[in-house]
Amino acid sequence: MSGVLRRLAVSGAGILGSTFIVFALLRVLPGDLATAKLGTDATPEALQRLRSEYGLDKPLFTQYVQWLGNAVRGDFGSSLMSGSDVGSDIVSRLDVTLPLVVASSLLAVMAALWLGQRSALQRSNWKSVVLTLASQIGLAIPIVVLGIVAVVIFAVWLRILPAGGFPVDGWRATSGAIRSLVLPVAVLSLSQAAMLTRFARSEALDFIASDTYRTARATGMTKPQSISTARRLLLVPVLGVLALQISTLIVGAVVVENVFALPGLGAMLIRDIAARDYLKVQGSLLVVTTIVFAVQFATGVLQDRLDPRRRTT
Amino acid sequence: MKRLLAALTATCIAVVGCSAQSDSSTDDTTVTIGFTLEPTSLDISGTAGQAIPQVLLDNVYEGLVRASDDGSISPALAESYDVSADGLTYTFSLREARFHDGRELSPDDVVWSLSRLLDDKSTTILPTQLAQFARVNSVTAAGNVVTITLSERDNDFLYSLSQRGGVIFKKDASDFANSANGTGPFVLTKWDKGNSITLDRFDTYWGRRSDSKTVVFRYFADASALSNAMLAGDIDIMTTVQSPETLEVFESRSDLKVLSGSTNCEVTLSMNNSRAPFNNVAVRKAVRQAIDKSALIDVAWAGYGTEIGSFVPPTDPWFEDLTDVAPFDVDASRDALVSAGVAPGTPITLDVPPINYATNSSEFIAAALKDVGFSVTITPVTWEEWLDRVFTKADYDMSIVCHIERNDMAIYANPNYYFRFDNADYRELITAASAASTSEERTAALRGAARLLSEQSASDWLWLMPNLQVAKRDVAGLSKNAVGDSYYAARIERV
Repeated sequence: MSGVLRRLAVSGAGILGSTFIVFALLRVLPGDLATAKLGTDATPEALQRLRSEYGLDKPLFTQYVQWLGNAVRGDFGSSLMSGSDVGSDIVSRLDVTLPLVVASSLLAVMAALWLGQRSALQRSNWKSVVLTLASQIGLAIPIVVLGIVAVVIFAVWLRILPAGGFPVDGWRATSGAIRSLVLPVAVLSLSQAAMLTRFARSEALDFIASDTYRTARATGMTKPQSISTARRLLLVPVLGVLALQISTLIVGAVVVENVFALPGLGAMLIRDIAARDYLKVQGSLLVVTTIVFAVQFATGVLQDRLDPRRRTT
Repeated sequence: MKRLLAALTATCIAVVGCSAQSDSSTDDTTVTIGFTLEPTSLDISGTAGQAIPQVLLDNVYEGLVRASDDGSISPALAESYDVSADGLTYTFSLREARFHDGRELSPDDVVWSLSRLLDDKSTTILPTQLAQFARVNSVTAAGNVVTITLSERDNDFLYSLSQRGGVIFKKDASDFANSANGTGPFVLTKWDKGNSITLDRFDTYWGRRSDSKTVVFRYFADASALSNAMLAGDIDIMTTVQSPETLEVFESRSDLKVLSGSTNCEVTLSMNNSRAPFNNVAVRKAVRQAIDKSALIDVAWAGYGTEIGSFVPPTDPWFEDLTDVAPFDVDASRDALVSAGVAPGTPITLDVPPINYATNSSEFIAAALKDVGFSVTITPVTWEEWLDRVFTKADYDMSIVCHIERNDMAIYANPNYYFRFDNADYRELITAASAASTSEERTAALRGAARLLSEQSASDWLWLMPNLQVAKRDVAGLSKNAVGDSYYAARIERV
């Protein structure tokens, strides 16, 4: 239990620290909200007036503490650029990004575990060579290329799926929403699976070389049966890698979001950074870091449960 | 029985009313238009960025006057207007119109909206708009006539009124960033951020109602995603083709058409007029004669540019085809360089900023200039370096950039501008144009200025950037040119 508490404390400190870093980095960027809003030919006086109107001329520390105090209470403020509520803007984007990232990650893990074990068992077989080659290629092809090829095949030639976009009514247009996520999820899970398969394979190879496996085989179990006794153990390192991938994907999915014109969180973040919409960027990144820490936390707890040996440390 | 009759009559009226509405000029279709830049806010007068007026101006908001696709000014919320002989007093008679929330337009709305531009300390109005309206003295109303007085003549004032600064809001409107209550042919019904803006036909519009019931402006952060959406048939119109080499794909499709219109963007090969050898007009002319523009346009822009021969787009009234002032002629170019004393192998540097029209044409230009005796070094530069060294300090020989501002001939009248073109006659013509009391006088002065500029070969003008769009074959009514701030959608329909 103390392990869980320690993890929580570390996560909390990490989140707090990252809010400060984000706040500071945004202020270091050249240009500010006033220049983004009024354009390049604004006079210094006009810029100054706008800054004082938005409280951007107050001491930085005061601005930070004020923002943090509100954010902790769940009030992320309103966008300095459009005046819309930052919290609901973020939620509407997570509506797209979370299903995309979660669905593609789950698919990738399932595929990786199966393929990894398969190719480990058939080390010297041509199927294994094909699998290894496929995962190499999967790693080598940039996700943008994969996405464009998928669009050209399924949307432009076959015309069975949309080339991109998301229904204006969001998830209320359920079938439309699912249809628009099919290709992005497939592309994103392919590229994740390519990497995860290699991890799963090398873990499975280690296991095959172990005494446990040999014992299992000696009791008369078939190869697949023997390896499935270690499924829980194989999952542990794969989960670790997966957690890292999910963390990068919350924002990193922007590559896929742009190729498929999806209104996701990463796409919004990039625009807001360009517009120097401080409150929105800070709010979005606070949510992102919280998700990242939550994923790491959950993974740690899950790994402890899966592998009893980890609990003693 | 009476009640039954009444009910029947009501049904009849409803039915007749219904069928009368679906006349041939309007249909109930949705047209989806693809763009690359999404607005950051709906605040048309207070937030910079081309994407805001693109969707809102003339579609959702209107001004007293409107600039048409060909650049001409026509009445909009003003039924008619009049300009006094001294050019200082403008009177506008308002028409009967309604805001989207149902209230009727009143002269107070006009006075309130335009008076916002008179406070030069305002932070809710863009500085560029404040500058355009800096000469306005007063905005007053009497009856349905609005009078605007200026402190000095401004030949561009009607145009300024037709653009984003001149839109008419409902008096005391406040939430500009998130809502748009205009008088235009479309009601803004939904902004799905990061995705699209939906405009629906405004049924009680004062003028001809929009031809499509719904127009969706869809935004693609990625240009190839936009192309794919067009190829897949997800959108009806693609408003920008960012790399002309992709046009072949669209041209090969029988269900699509490529439209080419005009812009204000002159791709300019600048020569530093203050530096040898380009301080000699004969050398500058020789440079222009060395470059085969039509071949260049084929190579660099898939054949879609227009040769202009000076610094004026064909949509301006003072345009004149000046391509014959320095026509392509390699022999004439070589001879001129010899008699100007330019030694063969004279080294010059071409600074190329990182943008496709410049990079696509630099090799061609370098080869053409080598052919007549220059030794050309191509130097790729970042935009930061270009702004600092080329634009601000004018420390360069030659460069390529597209000058996009409207009516920007005055930049050649500034001897410190990076062209370093210093010509008193030209300055006089530009001054005469802005002081002209009739549009004929102004046009004559600017036409003279454009000719002088070309005769002096102040720069070379490679081509006028086309406005390239792709549309489904059954879509009609698009604005072909991109010369104003608005993307007018009311005439777009499926046929």
